[in-house]
Amino acid sequence: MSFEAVIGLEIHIQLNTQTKTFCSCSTSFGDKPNSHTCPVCLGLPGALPVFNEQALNKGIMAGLALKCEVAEFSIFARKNYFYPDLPKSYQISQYESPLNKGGYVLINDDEGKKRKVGITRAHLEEDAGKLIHDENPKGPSFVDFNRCGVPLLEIVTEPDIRTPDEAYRFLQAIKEMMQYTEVSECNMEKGELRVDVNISMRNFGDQGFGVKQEIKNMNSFANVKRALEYEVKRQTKILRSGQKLIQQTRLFDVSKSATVPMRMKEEAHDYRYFPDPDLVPVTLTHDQIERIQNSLPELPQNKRERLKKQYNLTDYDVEVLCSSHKLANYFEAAANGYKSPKKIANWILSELIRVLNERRIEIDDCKVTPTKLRDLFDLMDSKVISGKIAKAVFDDMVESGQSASEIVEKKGLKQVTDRAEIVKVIVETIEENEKVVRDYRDGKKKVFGFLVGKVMQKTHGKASPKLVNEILREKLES
Amino acid sequence: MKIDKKTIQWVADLANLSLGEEEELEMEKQLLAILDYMDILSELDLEGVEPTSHTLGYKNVTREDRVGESFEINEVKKIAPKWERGHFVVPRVV
Repeated sequence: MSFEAVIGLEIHIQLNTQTKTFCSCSTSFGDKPNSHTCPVCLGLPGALPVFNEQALNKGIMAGLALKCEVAEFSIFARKNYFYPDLPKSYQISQYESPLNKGGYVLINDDEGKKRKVGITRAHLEEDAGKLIHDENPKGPSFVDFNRCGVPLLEIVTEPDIRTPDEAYRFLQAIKEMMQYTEVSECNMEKGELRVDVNISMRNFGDQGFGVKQEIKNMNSFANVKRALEYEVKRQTKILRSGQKLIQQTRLFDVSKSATVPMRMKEEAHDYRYFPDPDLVPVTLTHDQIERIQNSLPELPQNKRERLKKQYNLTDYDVEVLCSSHKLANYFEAAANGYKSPKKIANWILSELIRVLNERRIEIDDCKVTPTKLRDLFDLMDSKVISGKIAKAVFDDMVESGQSASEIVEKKGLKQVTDRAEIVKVIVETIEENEKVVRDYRDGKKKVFGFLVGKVMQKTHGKASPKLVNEILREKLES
Repeated sequence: MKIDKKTIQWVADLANLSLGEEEELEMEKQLLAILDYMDILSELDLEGVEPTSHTLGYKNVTREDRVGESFEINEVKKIAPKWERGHFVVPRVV
């Protein structure tokens, strides 16, 4: 008997705002613990939460990108539970009337065919504080409330995902979309994107659902994939042996590359949701939603298709360029109006990505702006420098931030195109390498490359390779 | 809705409160009274009436996304029942 996995995801994404959801404390990361707190986010009596308009805008944009129906009426609810990372003893979330419902995302299945993964809902809520547990298991916990109240979007999918690889691709697609729309930076190291998964197994072809396992709080896509692969194996083994699964909440243990049962209060799941009386309903008109729809930036899939067609690029080119909207925009800024955009794409995919990786910097931090890159190309096209020199100049540009022409000028890298000068060096080279020249004239044509190398060496790589080839051949054949 | 001893203990446990036997009885009495009072609502004919989520009739109250004033760390420290190395200290749960 063969089994198939039924997978659904819950993704928490931190919305890209300056301030928290219901108070004006900063959302900036890595600051002194508890320095971004106030009566509202510490849940002091009498404090009144007021909703951040930017969190609403980002929430709507996310909903539209996910092809959801954006609700013209939505409300906030209190989700009640006791845990020390939550000073109010409830989290403000959305329950009965969420902001976004019923969307979908297109992904490729494992055979490369397009498939829809349904989005059940995408609602707004606030994050909780951060707990650090004492090393001693009986010791206390320490709480930092800086993250408490930071706006999140929780995206809940339908159980439409069938394999760990599909889950991985789905998460990539979500991350790209949220970054393209600038809804979130999705910085995984800062915990701006966290994933819970639900997975059960059923006989292949069945429509019902098996016993589900929840794996909580993963912050890397690779770990999500590994945890799911582990669960598929574990659950299949149990079902094959004729045993039954019990519904469980588990954690992924990175060091064991395995999921383990999570310790938790058993009765914790009674949230007693009710509308938050401190917060008023959010209503949107059709026009408002449409205005935001029209202001939505180009989404990853559309950008890939357009760039491919407009600039004559390969699938591979657009796949890599569009993995980040910043890289894609950089390409367009540099390639716009240029005669061979493919050359620019190649340069970005090889040289630019190399220096970004070497220096562990983001494209925003790269000193070579698109305009500066174009200047470098202009120097190559007008034969002022050769392609080889251009690479060295580029490295220098990344380091110093100077323009290509400044560097070429300063370091005297201009290509030597003066015929007389090249002839002089070639004559010298021929005199110094009598034996090799004899070999050539005796028919050993492959030593030609060696002689070209000698000439380039003498000119420090600055001689025009085209001229060197031409003149050297002339002199040797005569 | 019925309130009995079991409900009281359940709700107290969810809120991480430990109540003595007398307190449980007292709570049961008070919560029953509240629910009885609210029962008046069920005498009304609410056919076709939308549930109310807010009583004041306001909607769309938002603020600009601009950073305002937060507490000074010293003020936070004063609020905390226990404080160590810049953090609130709490008993471990779970």
